[in-house]
Amino acid sequence: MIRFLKDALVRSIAPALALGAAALLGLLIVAVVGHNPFAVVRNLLSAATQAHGLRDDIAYVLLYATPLIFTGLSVAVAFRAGLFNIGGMGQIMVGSILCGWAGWKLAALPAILAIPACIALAALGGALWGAIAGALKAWRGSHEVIITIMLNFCAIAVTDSLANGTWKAKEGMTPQLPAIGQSARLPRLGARAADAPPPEAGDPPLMGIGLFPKHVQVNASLFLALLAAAGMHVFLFRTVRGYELRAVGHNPEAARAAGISVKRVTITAMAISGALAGLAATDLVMGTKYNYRQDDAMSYARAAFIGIAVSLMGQNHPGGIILAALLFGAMERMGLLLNDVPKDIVLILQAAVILFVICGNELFSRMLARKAATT
Amino acid sequence: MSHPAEIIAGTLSLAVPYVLASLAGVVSERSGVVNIALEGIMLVGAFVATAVTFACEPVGAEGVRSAANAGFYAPWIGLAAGVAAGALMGLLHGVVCIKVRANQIISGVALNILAMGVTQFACTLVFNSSSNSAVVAPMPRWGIRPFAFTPIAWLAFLLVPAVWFFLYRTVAGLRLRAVGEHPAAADSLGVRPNRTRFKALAFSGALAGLGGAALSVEVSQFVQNMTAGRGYIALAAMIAGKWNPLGAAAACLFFAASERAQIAFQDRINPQLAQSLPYLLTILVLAGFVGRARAPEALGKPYEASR
Repeated sequence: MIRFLKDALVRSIAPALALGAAALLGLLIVAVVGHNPFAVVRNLLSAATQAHGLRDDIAYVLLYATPLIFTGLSVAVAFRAGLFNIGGMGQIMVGSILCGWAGWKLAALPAILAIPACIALAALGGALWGAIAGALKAWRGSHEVIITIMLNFCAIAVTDSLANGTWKAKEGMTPQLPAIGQSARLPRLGARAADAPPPEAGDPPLMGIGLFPKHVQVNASLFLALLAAAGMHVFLFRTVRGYELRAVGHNPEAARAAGISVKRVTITAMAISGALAGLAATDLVMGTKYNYRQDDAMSYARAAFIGIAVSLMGQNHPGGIILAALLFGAMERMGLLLNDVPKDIVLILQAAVILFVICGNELFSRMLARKAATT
Repeated sequence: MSHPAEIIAGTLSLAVPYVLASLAGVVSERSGVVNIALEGIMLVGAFVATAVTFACEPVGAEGVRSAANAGFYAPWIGLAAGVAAGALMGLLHGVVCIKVRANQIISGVALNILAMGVTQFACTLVFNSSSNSAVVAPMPRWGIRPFAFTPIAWLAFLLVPAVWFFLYRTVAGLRLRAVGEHPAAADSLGVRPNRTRFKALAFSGALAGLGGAALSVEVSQFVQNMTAGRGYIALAAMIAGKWNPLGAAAACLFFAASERAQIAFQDRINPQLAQSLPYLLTILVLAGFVGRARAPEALGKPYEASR
């Protein structure tokens, strides 16, 4: 236990320093564009804590963190196998459109069948898109980074032709699928206020947890994300397959010599990584939007790219990823509460965090190596 | 159906940003540094070129700045600033992945996110809108219609053979390729790999910045995320062109032609299918089904100097 805590502490030094550096950078930018940084922080804090503010804030942070947990885990499982999955966007899109299709077609089924079917298709779509890159890497030696970027563009083309074509909803001009059935919708966590009007037929289902306000869309996919993190921890650190995956990531040559099939591990790692990205659809399609919308491509891209930051910040560890996703969710919430400076400062700070973490990790490990060499 | 000359001119003008960015990719990757940041560098180049042009527009008699009474020099200063901003982004990439020796791909991704944040943040400050800038003073067009291109386009056409000549016929180009293939061997001959890579990244950044400026100068305006993945497609063109400036430019022309065909045959072929052609081609090239592409030997590997 002590060793675990010490290990966690050492791992969190670089992310903590990176966070501090990014915060300083943020204050510096605010000052450079002509605002008093302290006044901006004070305004932010008062906006965050006004009436019901804090309760809403917590719910919103959890809402924004949910897809980031999935994409963070997705990037991390590939990193652990020595692969860089930059194709989260395409994997989310393919997973989402299949999930939306299932929810629409299976509207007649009861929730106990419809929800698992939609979740399975979301994972399957992502896994398929990830496995293509894994297979090309394993069999043809093609670099997974460029392949996954190209697969992102292919995913846009494929989903666009479906959402504009055979699967297009009749209502509305924008390319989107019809709404998923009531039975396929994940319940929101919130409870109805005591003085609220009685629920109507189209209202989203609620779980009735009193802590959460009804109007925030945070939903049951959060539990699925936490479950996925727990599952990944067990897989990576308690199973033979997980051990093999990490072995390939550490040293593919040694893994091969030890009789591990590097090709099989590469393909499965990319498939698992894609499945985790695809599962983000449970939040985006089943929990918040209730249908697949082509116009959401930019938010899919953002969830995928911020997932890289979450994975780095969480040091590729499921527990760390949950914390990092909450942190990035809080940054998104902060952006919406900012009034004094453009909200895009959040993107700048998120990029800065990535740069600081990779530099910090590198310099820190070099420092440790130097220390080990001198003693 | 438009006149064939117009189709050729249209294809050439669409190809310009791709050509410049893929040359940027060739220069960087030949020196051994992966440059996924092309996308972000282009975006910054596009924004800075527009914003500086706007800042340099003279104030009219009625006290308002407008494109109509702009001095002819404003877009040129903007262009120079866009190129310089690109070079600076390239150097930042260099600090992270040459000096600190952090992962080059992650650094590139971070720079792309940074570029998106910085351009939207600054666009809101300067133009009061994160989605687009004001229309600024236009660049002149040189040539006879329909072959009347911006000076950037003519420069791009000249840069293709120039970069090829630089890489394969000059000493500096040989050194650049040497540090990308075998930095230790180059080092033993007195070529400093990391210094050479820094110079290559500055050059690469300048080219990508120019490519971004080509986009915004074409419409005399900056639009949010106006690169729309062109930096990534340029990387694909670079691979399809086997890390050779001439091959990369040819691939860019092919990609631009397929983009032009989409516009021409909108109602006759499935636009989504035509749209994904360049990406499928790149996947086939990378998978070795269409010719075998060989990346520079030391690509992506940081070099630790022994002195």
